Amino acid sequence: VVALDERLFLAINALVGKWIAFDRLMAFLVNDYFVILLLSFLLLALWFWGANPQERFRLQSLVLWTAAGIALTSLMVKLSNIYLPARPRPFSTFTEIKLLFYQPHDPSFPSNSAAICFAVATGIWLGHRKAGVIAYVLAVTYGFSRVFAGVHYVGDVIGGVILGSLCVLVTYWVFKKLGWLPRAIVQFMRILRLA
Amino acid sequence: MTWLEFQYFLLVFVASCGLLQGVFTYRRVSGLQFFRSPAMGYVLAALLFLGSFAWFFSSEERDIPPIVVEGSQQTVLFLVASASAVFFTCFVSSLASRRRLPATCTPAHMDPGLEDLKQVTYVRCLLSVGKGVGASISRRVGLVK
Repeated sequence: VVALDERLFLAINALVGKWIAFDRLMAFLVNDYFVILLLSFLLLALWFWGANPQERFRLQSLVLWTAAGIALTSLMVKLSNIYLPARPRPFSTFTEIKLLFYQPHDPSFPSNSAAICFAVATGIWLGHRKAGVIAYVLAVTYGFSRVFAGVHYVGDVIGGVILGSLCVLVTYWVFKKLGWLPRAIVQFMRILRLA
Repeated sequence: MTWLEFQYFLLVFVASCGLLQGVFTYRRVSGLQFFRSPAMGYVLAALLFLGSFAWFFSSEERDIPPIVVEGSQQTVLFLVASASAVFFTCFVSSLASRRRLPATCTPAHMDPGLEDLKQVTYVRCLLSVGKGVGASISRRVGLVK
């Protein structure tokens, strides 16, 4: 499995340098801010998006379980960095690869950024299918750019996808079971006229 | 706060103001709009949102370690900056719309929530609600019959 993962990574990274415009696009998308900001702004917009109080409550619940899912995902990534054996980054193993990004020092597996992006995308998709598709497109693009740029193996991104999606499914389930919790938070925000 | 963190905060604050203007214009939440005209609202939203991104990503190279904003810092800065943008929008729109919207919430608008702000400014709505709560407390403690 590791050999296949490495072969996949090398095949994708070998595409660097073939199309300059595509390289530039990927070098821009791989940065630490752009895609994550777009996903965060999507959540902010969804909080106020509903046309009526019922729709707004549904979308605000979505934002709440997604936010909880992000927190849980961050915690799980931190724990995995402590307790799992640290997988070296691709640029540490293959010195001949083409790197389009700086060299991060944290373990390669699981991909923290992919985990967070897919936690957001799954959280949104569970409550709003159209916005969820947009979020998934952003998350997949970001995950691909991390491999293309030489920062992660494909397996790291898949690990992040599974971890982030599972974490948000857990918080979704908890919020559905504890229906009073989102209701109480939204009710408080309604008193402040912010929901 | 480092210079990059401050710039990140500014990006989120300005882009959030733009995004909120876009959403409130689309949903016709008059009490939170800076302009009466929807066209002006959309133009301002696009200028603030796209302009802030263009400024942040074109002014400097953003991924030069060790000067990066870590994930947890990004989360905190995003929350603080977007919450600041929400309150900024509430208060600036109250100033901008104070002449064109009614002075107080009428009983029909007293249902809690964003629905109120489709016809009343944020500050006036909060003041009306505050007065209502004050009167209710006064009645309960027997100050007013």
